[in-house]
Amino acid sequence: MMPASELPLSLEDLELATAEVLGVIGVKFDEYELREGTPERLTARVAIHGASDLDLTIEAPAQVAAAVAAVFFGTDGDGGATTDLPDAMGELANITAGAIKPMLDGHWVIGIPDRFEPQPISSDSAIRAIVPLGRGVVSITVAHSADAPVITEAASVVEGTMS
Amino acid sequence: MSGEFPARIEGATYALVIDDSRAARMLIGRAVRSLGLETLDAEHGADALAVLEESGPVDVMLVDWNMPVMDGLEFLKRVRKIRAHAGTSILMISSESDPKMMARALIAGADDYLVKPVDAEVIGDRLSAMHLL
Amino acid sequence: MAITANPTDTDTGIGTQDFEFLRKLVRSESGIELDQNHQYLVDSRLPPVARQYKLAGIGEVMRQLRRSRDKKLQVDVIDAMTTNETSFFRDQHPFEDLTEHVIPKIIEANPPGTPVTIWCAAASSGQEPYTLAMMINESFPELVRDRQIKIVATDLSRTMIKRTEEGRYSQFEVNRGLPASLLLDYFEQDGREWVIRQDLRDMIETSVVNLLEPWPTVPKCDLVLLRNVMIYFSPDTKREILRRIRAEVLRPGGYLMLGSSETLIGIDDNYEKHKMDKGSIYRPEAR
Repeated sequence: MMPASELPLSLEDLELATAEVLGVIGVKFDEYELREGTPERLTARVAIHGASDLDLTIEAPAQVAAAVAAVFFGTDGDGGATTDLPDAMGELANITAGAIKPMLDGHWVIGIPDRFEPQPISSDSAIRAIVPLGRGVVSITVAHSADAPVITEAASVVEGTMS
Repeated sequence: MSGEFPARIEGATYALVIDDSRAARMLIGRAVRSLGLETLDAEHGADALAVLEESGPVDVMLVDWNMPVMDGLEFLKRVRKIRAHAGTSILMISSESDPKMMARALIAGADDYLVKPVDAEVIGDRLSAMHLL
Repeated sequence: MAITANPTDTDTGIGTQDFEFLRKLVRSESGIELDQNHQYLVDSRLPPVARQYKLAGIGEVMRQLRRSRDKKLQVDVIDAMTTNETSFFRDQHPFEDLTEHVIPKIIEANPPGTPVTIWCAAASSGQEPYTLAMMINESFPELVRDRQIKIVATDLSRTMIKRTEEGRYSQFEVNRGLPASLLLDYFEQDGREWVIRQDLRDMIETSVVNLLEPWPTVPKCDLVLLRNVMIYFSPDTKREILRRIRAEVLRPGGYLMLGSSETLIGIDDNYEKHKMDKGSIYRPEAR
């Protein structure tokens, strides 16, 4: 396990980048009707490779994920159906990774988002920004990939495609 | 997204939105349509080349960078070699804000570059500067 | 622009009396007329001030403002309420007109050795003067090389002037209107932000100017940009500012550019409107 102090960015940087992204995308709050089978919370992950391998994980309760999905899908979406929420979270992870990248020294490459069920991870080895959003919070965690949670079978619970 | 293409609308301006994220395609597509353009979409560079083969030239392409199968940079290099698309306006829209990467995109043939997140206003300014609105 | 990541702020709106108080304060300090249509500004602009002062909400900001007459809070509230939305190449086309038609005519008309002098009268966070600086550097590099160009950027707000001097913009701000080729040529990335080149910052002279008060820092100019500001002023204030631009600032044959949707019709008949390719420009009538 690598200590959080060896991560190439500070919690403050992560909070700033996240706050700016969420501020600019302009999430609107409403009572979203969630389809049956929507998980209680949604997660997405994106890898950032460079001087080391990092994982950025983003996690939010379904209502918050629905608000994020509404930004991307508008009324064209399927009203919070199973594919919109994880797809929107994946794109949010991608954009947030882009926002923290300029704060990292050296050359880094952002991977393609995927979704997974996160396992608890020690706060000693990760930094986590908790940003209040509507009726919940979004948490964004950055950790070394070796310490980041592995994909479990739970990932298949959420259907739909996320590329 | 290849398949049957509906007949083109006479006089309409067409945009091809290329992004592996369905969320991003929806947001960008909606923004572009709100500006009065018609849209086609593709999930990655190779898909976009297939779409263009069937649809014929479009007026503008909005291209992501990080995509599976064929990324945006490779797509730029290939599409610029095809005579029919050599003059099409291309706006790259990516979460990557590294100036070196931006420069590579411009050299490979992108006319302009936007960093995500974007909205209709930001995209509209660029399309207007490209004289597409 | 201020970005809030906390859209949970639910306190919206202030009472009629509070809004009246705010209107009077803003009018007396800046000449800017807020009307009922500007009430939304209270909800969008004051929560960040509340956070900055660690006050519970905008109601608390108003109470503090009335009670303490805290000058710094007063300035910050006025700044927040009056700051102009701005972007690089705002409206795009006016800048094409300036490079293609107006600036070449100024160069031609000015006696040799007289620098082209431009005043951005409500420069906000600096995007307009820097747009001019980049554009002039692209189209008339000899003016820059020979130091034959002077851009004076003024604003009511000290905070905005400081931002102009720093020339530092968020990714979101450069996304708005600044072509990537110019971003790469004229800015350096510094963390999440972009900083404009020192030589462009050197092209710009800044000062705080309240358009209602004397303009000691404003030189004689060939071109004045007064874009999207007049909408905030009463008809009398507009007339007076336009008269002073003619009398105190513009050189004979100088130009005045307004925002794309603004007009002088019915406000000041002493300017002649000239159609250009994309928009219009005004010149004081020859006497």
